[in-house]
Amino acid sequence: MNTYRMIIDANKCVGCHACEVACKQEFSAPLGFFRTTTLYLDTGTYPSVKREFLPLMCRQCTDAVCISACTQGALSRKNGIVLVDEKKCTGCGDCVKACSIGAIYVNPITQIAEKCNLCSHRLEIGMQPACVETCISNALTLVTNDNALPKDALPLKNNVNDKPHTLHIGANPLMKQKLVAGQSFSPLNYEIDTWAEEI
Amino acid sequence: MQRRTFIKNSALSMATLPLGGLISLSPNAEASSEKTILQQTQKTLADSIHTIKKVPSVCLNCSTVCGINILVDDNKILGVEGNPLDPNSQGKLCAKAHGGVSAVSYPERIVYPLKRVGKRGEGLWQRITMEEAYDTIAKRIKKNLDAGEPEKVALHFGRNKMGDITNRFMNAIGSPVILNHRGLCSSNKRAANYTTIGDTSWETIDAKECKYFLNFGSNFFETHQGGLPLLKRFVEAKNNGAKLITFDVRLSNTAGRSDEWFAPFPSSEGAVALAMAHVIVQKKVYDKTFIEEWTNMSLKELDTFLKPYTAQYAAKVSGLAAKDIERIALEFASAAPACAAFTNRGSQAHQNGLNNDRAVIMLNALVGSIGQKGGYAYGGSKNKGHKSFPLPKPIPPKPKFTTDLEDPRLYPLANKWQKMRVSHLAFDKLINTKQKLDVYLSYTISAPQTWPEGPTVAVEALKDENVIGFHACSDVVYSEMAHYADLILPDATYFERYTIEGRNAYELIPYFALRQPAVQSPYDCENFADTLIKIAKRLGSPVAKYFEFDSYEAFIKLRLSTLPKREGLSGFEYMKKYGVWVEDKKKNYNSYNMALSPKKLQNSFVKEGIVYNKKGKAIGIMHNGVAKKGFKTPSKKFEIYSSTIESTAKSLQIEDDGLPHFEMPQSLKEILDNELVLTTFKWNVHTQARTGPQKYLSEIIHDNPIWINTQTAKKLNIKNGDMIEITSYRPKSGFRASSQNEVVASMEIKAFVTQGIHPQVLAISNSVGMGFGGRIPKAKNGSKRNNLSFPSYEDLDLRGNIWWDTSQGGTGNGVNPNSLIPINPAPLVGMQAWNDTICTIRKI
Repeated sequence: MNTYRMIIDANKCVGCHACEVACKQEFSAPLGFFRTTTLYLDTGTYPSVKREFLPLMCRQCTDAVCISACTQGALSRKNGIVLVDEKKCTGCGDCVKACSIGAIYVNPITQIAEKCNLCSHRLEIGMQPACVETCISNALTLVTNDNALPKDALPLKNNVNDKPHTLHIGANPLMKQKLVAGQSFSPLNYEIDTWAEEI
Repeated sequence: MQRRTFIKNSALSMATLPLGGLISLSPNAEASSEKTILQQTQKTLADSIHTIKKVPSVCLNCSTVCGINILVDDNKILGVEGNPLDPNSQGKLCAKAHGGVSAVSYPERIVYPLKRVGKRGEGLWQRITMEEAYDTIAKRIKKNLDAGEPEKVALHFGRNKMGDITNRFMNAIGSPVILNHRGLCSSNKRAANYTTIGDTSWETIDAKECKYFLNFGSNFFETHQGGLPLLKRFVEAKNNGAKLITFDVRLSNTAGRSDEWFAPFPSSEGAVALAMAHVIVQKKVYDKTFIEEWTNMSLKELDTFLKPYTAQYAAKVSGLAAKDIERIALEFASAAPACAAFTNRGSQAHQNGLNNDRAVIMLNALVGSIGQKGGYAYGGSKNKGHKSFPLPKPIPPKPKFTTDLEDPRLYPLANKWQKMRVSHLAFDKLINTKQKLDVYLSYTISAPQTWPEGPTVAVEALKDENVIGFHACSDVVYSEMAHYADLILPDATYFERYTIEGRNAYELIPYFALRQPAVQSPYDCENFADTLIKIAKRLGSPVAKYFEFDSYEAFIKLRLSTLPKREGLSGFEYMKKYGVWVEDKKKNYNSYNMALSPKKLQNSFVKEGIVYNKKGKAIGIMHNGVAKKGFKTPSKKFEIYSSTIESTAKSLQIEDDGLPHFEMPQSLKEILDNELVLTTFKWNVHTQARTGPQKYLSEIIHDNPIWINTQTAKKLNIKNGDMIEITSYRPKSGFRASSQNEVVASMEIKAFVTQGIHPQVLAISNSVGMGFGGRIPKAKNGSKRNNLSFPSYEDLDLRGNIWWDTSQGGTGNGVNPNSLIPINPAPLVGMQAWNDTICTIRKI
């Protein structure tokens, strides 16, 4: 049985948003809710200014706090992927509160928790996740059985106890200011007045 | 039936707008509920992944036209993926490609033909049949043909892509009045390419092999025409150590991820490029052979021409440091020939844009990167193209006359090589000159939304029945344009129709692609091409004889019929199966340097070094005793000096020595300390007006606060999110020139204070701020209007999840900035000088 691990290279990301739109189309995700999101951050002072990006999605943690937070046993981890069992989920939102980056939301229409599952339905038939398949810059890659893991890839933690399985390259720690522990990825991060560093 | 009664009745039980039924689509129309199938109860792409069918086709959510596989299950389009066979996009897509899927089943899509019953622009409509629509339009056209006034019938389109049928239609009825959007888009850039190298499209950088990208304002990370294929190859080049230098007044994603970003004063790109040329010539880091043998200027002449354009001069007009200009010129030259200097739409959208772009292109010639591996490989832009596919006979002749509307005499370069036109002047001319239209057919444009002074001048013309007698609009949603029509035709989306497609080939090997329908259009929706064919048949003699095919599909089939069989399939069948055709040819490097074939040289003759065929057409140039193809310019060389520009200018009594001199537009040269320059840009998730209704795209960008530099804002006490009043002025030279600072418009806009913009520049995007098109572009949650659109279809997202709706505390749907931007055609070509607008601001 294969295990999977997502590697996200922020240095390669071009900020195009294709990953999150492809993801939302894949699952007909509701407006305002994101399994994957891309954060923007402008740094520096005119005329020396740079723009950085950070694609984010569930980090498929080992010892995932969302799994232990679920009182219904609806969350489990298999092949390196944290999965939601729709039949068991009651939509209580305990898992949302547990995640330090906000990678889970409760669908307001179905009242079921949704999160990135690395497109398990695609992996089963030998396809790549929707985001990886469309990514023009290869900022997203899925490594199978930890073959050829890049050396500069690090876990992105928003809480010291986080145990991310997904690894990031070149993530600017300042991006964490845009995340609220226990709250799903905020759509407000798309508003351009949130792009710059706090001045 | 009274309007109020109708609304009341229909609110009760109607699942469908009945034939003859009335509907109010005015912005203030009442809402009502109806029986619906909810999108949320439909299978998702994830649910259907095992049974999905792939239909190869071509995206049209922007002009880059990437190859897609449309993912269909149970006759429903669930998503798209990149078609890996497409040699340009190579299986990759952008956000727009994925987001475009929602256009197909957008609950507010127009699905019936509608006839206006109230006043024009009032928004009261009656559902009619397609038969009645064809008859109405045909009768109105016929009236003008019978009166011997075909020029009173006009066709106005934006990203049409079906010129094969629209031109045929207009030629058949004998009207020359075809209007487009080229003058708002790229005509100065194209004119620069045409005059310099004679090529007919964008440059095609051999990006994968390129080591040094010298980028004058292209935002290819987000929006460049051909941007995705360029970005794909740039990423590979970058991984191999290539460098990217970007000049842009605003920190675009491209600028923000460049190795170096410089913000020159608007319109000064030409000065910077000329100064770099000066450095290259002074330091002798040029390609002497290319200059002497393949350009039409000697080194000595170049030296004289470039003398005034020192790095210090460019530093003064651009605000950049002379040492940076010098350093980058030398770095660029040292990467030659694997380097490319290029532009997109920014540097050319100024009054001096033609010469800005000519100066940039020239840099490639000086260092010898033209046509080279890793260089400015223009020759790759030869896709197989429309002209390679025969048009079914008989072919209607072109009208033998033109009118000032589509062939403006004041802008003689506009239509010289390609029909580029100056359509942003059309509405003003219709209002203020004797020329009026009786039939105006509009397709894929939204002039009130996207035209300079669109909300004012375009709307004034569109509203006035004395200016435009009858307006039929084909559109997918109830757009700004449809609102001012007399008859609305429900268009097919690009997932439901055919087009022969192609763009400049980034693999430098010609290819073309086929857009094909993945599902049938719903209800009465019909590809505008098919609508035109049906109208043409009704027009009878002499128009109908040019339309003796059943449908646009049959027409496309005929056009593809001469393709050789592949895999035992006919051209049409092969294209339906794979979507893409790649020619069996080598990469097209150095095409100017190819020897002419003995066949081409039969009965040819040479005069003053130029090779002519027996008909007297120049086909090449003698080069070291060999007949070569050369460039498609009058001299058959790379033309730094352009005799065409010199003589065209002379015809208008304008003095121009034909060299790409730099001269700043007067308004910008005379800018005062309290004035700023307003510029525009596009986002990576939007294309002009068409993406507004697509929910996953508008979710990312729906608002357009105006970008203002932090230091400038501080001086004016403006903080992020403050409302400011912006007032814009007419240019000091050109159309409606005003030395008295005549106001164009004032507007209140929210400020976005950022380090990422030049201190004297403001930037605001289009694509948002729509008043029509349904709940998504308007950012208004609510129940579906009792309307013509998908009668039994609804998306719960539109009832309460539009989180940017101001009534939910969101930022709203932005503003349309185009009332601020004056109609400002650049000299000779008429390109809209989008980025020359002088304005003042104050905090409210």
